Amino acid sequence: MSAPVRPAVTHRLALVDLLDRLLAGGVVLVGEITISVADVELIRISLRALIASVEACHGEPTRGRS
Amino acid sequence: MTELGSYVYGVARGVDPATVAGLTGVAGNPVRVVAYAALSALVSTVDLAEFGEPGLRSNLEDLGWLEATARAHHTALAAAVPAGPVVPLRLATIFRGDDGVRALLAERGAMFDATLRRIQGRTEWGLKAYLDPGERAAPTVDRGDPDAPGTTYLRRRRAQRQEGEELRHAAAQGAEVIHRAVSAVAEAARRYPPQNGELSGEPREMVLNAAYLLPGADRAPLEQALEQALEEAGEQAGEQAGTWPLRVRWTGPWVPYSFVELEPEP
Repeated sequence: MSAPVRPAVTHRLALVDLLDRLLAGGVVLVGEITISVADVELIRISLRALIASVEACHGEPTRGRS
Repeated sequence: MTELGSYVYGVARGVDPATVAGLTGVAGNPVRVVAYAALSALVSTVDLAEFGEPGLRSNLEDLGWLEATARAHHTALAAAVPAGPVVPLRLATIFRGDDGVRALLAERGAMFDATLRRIQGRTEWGLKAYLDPGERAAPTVDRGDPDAPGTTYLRRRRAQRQEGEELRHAAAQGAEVIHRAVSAVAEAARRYPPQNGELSGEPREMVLNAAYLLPGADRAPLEQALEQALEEAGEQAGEQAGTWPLRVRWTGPWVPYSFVELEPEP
């Protein structure tokens, strides 16, 4: 049997890498589900707008962790 | 009255509830196991005011909320992975209740089982490459022509622009070669669009954003393939040109988020 796989703990992962996978990866299920993140592009666009507005407020870019 | 839903992180086989005991999931709620036959879904109860469609739409645009939810999602899955494979679900997959979760496991059981077998013992690794001129970015000394400062300026600008294009071209080419080389030793590969620099906080231009699936928990085979590709490029380019203007960064190990698309419904 192979050694157990231990995924990296979340605080060591950059948010942007996590979002790539959680918004475009993972199994998408349809059915009784209330909502799935269907329109990734829309979310990305609004995120960009959000970041731009955060930067305008604080005058410095939002930093991802890596 | 508060309407509750069941947020599903992923599906595994026979998860011991002790594995996730004490684990905090999305919205600060505990992670628990909903079982059906041999399958177990990792679940948290959520308030549908927050996770129903209207709430979710606005919350997904709140970067703080999105980050907390994404990290909680990963934490729940990562806790279960050492005990066996877990099929991760897309962020924010919510059922009206545990009965819906059990119905899912009953209906899609065979497919979950097939996917679990396929990813058993596999690990996902991320590789990102950025345009990085390195030492070539050092400003070239141009003494200029004292008689025609304007011409010198224009010439310098043109040279800089040309050099920038050449660097970008070389970086893109290098990224393709690296991706091919690393993919060749991986079980599966997937590319994501380049990340938004504002979101990542990375000033360099991204030229490769890829994920690879590998048996085992060690990424050494991927690193070897990458190093070999870099070495070969260095040999071909000779001393005067150096190698590609790239900076690479590994991420992971990841739960195999990028390699779990279920087959279409029967």
